[in-house]
Amino acid sequence: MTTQLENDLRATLAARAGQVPTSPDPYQSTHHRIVRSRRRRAAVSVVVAASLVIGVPTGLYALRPGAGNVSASDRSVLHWPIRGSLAGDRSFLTAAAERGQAESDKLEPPVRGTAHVLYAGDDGRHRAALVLVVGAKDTAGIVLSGPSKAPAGSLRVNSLLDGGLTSGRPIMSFDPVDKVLLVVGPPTMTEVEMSPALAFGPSGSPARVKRLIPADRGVVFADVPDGEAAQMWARGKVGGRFTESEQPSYSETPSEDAGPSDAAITSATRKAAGHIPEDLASELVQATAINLGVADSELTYRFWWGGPVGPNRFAIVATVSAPGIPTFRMVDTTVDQPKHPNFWQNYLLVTPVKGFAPPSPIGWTIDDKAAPRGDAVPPEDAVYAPGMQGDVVELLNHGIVIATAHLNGSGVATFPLNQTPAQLRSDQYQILDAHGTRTGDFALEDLDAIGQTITW
Amino acid sequence: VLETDDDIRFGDFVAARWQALSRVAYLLTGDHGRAEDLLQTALVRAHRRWRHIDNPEHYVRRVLVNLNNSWWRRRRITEHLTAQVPEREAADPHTDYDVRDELWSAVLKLPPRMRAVLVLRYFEDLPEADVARILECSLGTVKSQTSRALDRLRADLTPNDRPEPARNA
Repeated sequence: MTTQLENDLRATLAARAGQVPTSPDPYQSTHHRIVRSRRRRAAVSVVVAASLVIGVPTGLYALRPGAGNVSASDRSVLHWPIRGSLAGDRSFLTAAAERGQAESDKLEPPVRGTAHVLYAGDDGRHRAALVLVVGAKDTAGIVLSGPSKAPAGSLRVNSLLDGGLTSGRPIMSFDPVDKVLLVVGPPTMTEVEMSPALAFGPSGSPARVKRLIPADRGVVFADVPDGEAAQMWARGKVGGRFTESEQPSYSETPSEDAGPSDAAITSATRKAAGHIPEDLASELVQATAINLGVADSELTYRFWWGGPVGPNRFAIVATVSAPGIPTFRMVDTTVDQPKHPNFWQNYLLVTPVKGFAPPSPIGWTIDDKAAPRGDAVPPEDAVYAPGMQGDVVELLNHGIVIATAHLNGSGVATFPLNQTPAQLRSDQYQILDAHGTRTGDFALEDLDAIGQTITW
Repeated sequence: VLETDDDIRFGDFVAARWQALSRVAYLLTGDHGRAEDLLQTALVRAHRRWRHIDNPEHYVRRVLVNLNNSWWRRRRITEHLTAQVPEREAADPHTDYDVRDELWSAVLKLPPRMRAVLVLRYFEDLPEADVARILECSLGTVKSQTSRALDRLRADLTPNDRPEPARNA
């Protein structure tokens, strides 16, 4: 029987879905993503007659310093008043708008249209401006920043934004050179909570320190000397609620966007024991770099082994590091669905280690606790112990052996899948040599929450 | 832009199903920017495997749910320069902070997988068996997840749990 709650739920979901805007040409943007994923340049052009308008008529200068209450709507970026100490400096605004258009014209595809300056400020040490260029199909956001009193033409282009720029979310940018954060939100945004960078404890466990920065008429323009562009996350507080946290945009060097070198991936996989498909290795490197907030080129990695760990399951053991990041040993397990060969689920285990020495035995347990029993991702227990081929691995639960398996020719022991959690619930294992002598006790490592910490 | 027959078929699929899938993506994420990113990521993945996919709609839905459940997904969405900004409506209601509907707010608090069950059941109106196929789980799991999700919504909507209404300064 359908309940009132179910009826309300249907109505609510339908109403919310009805707010999703139409896209005039969704294929084009998707295609561009595809091309980018292939790391090829797309020859797409958008020609729109350009015009130059500073801001918009509604409330354009309503928020000059001392101009009084905010009357503009929070819900439309283009109706946000221009803010910042230079909001009344018409010559700077004109120059910033022109610079914004020039920069957006360099995008691929270029964005040509009306320029709206949303922020222009100078705090005596730094200067910044946020310009939106609104074309017929695209909107580009250009953040200019640099030293105090610098003309618009000499400011650095720190960010080129897209996707949801006009949605009303705070627009965030970080200048990694001057370490300055600019967050331009609706005038009712009261504060910004931000985490400047990942921190790592003595054990290497990642953590985040967060701080609140009060907004001035919906804007934060603040020094963040300990900010790391690729690791920073922030969110604004609007109407008493925090927005979704996201990474402030920052300018990337071309190498950061190039993706891992195919040659380097090939070479690294060939040095590993077992067999590691290059596409899996490449995806692991890219995702690791992104989630650790470093460039692919900064990542140092060594694959130790790759191979099956059960039906439809494939694991990679690697050691990874990067400047400012502890060295991690990683186990990446990919689960393929037999009925749907193109569908998979990744699980990642990240453990701090001292260096790039060959791994000592590593055992992992993966139990998707969020997925009820019967789902397609049953728990997995496996041990990789190079050099101990033929030895026996015993899984322990409170000191009682609950399962045994031999290390195969690759030094991998796997345990049966599709068992109940109680049957495979273990936090320890021991390895016995051919004579039955115990060679060591080890802790099984659980899928940890590093990703949640990193992405906040 | 279109190059091969596969590209043409893929383009037709995107054009025909974009709107419907973007609605699902939005209901899964509760955020327009992330929804667009999620859908594009799913479509890129679908394009890579286009020749091997029997049911693209089914496949993309599954990838949407899967990606949204996983932190593994690339979340740095602000640097790519390619997204088409959709046409805005006059009132521009697309704000992720403007949660006026208590029920919607409660839905957003659900874990991603549980929310996915509700979206597929009550927005897509899919039979439980189809939901189970998309989520790669058993029929019983769909039932139990639905029941638990509805319980959570009820609990969240009880008067004692309702937050104080916002007050003007």
